[in-house]
Amino acid sequence: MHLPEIDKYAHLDSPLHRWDGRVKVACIAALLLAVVLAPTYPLALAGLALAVAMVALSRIPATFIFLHVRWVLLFCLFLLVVLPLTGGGELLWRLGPAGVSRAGLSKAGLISLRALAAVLLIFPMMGTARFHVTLKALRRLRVPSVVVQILAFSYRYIFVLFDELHRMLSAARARGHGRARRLRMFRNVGSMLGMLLVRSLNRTTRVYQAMLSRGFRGEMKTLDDFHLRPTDLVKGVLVAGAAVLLFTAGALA
Amino acid sequence: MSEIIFIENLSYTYPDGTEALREVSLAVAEGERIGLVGPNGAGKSTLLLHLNGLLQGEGRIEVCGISVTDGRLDEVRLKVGLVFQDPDDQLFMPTVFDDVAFGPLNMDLARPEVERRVEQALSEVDMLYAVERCSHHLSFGERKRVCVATVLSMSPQVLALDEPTTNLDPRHRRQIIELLRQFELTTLVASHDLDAVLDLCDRVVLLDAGEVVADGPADGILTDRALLEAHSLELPLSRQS
Repeated sequence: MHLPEIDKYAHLDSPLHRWDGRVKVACIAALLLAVVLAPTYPLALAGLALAVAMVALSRIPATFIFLHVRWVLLFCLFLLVVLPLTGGGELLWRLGPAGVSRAGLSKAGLISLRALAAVLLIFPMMGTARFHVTLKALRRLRVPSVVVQILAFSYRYIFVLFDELHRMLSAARARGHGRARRLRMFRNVGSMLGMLLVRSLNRTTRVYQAMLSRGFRGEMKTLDDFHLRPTDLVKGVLVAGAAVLLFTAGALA
Repeated sequence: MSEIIFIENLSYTYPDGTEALREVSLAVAEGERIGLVGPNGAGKSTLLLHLNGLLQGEGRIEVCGISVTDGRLDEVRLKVGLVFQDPDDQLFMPTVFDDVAFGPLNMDLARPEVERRVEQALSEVDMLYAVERCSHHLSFGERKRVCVATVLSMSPQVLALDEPTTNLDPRHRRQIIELLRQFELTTLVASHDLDAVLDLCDRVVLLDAGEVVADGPADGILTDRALLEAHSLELPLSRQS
């Protein structure tokens, strides 16, 4: 079964692809934090502009970005509908019993801009190197081993789990799942998810046994090939500088 | 020939009460290739899991003169290379390189030595071209070969394989059999593929309901129709005429 992979375009060549993973992850993470903390529209817009510029620089195709970002847009749409109706304060328009609140609309717009910018920044951060290289960078940045292991195993086994679910669904369809009444279908899917949980628990045991039998003692050891070059630092200064500027401007605003 | 594996009166009951092994005794000489055969639930895989202490039952097991007990599991696990049936259990790292390097890195070897071992192990199974690939992108046959490399890189004394030929198409099945025939390691193969066992092994141990019911030359046991049928098996295809 095909699943969209975050590192599908890791093979491209761009300044972001060539950037040392450790500096890249740390600096873009700082920028991401500054963006989500942006308190005003001009700053959030600046953050969004930076995010769009970096995505463009990464050469990751726009269609691929949209495929992932559409869910965030859906979330933003939800906010843009709900917050204005529940915001209170000064009303812009009155729609029957409900009113569109200025404060609510403004808040929803700001949150949407920040969310969009933050999600866009994930692509230059995680999508410009193979995922396992990014994980090694995280480990070198002293992210706790347990967290990195959870990410690594999730990434390795999500495909296996989806395959298993897909097989179960095919088997269910072959036995008339598609023609069942809605309530029965929900029940079937529920029991399939339960079964998937049991199977993954069994798999966890077997994977752990395979790890133990190859000498695992709690620490995941890997080799990496990170080499810091002057250009890595220049890019780092630029992006971290932008993060600091955004953050400072936000604190002063 | 000296004994490399010595098992005496090994019994094991799973936590749910299933008796998987009953008073199993087995001595394996260095360099022997042994087939563990038997119906489903006979205890073949359970026996393999005891060889490096993943399961610990009652009785005595020694591998290379080391007693398989809590204090010495690290040593034992270097000696026994255990290959699981499902490659998705055996290959848990993001890339083939990381998977094959996993054992050597846990042995605290230096980087050049780890890289040398990974290259050598992958060459031996003819998979060096996939060193940077993700294992979930490989074919089933390729993954099976990488599984063997993940233990070869640890230079084990004993190779223990659980169903090495299951789910493989005839060409990949033949490849893995030829591959295993090249090794001069002591090898234990738990399998339902009796033709593969006949091709690979000099000696066969027939297990049923957790007990050793026959132990002898592969040619003798795997041609004994009555014995095989009494234990839910049948003659290898190559011996049916």
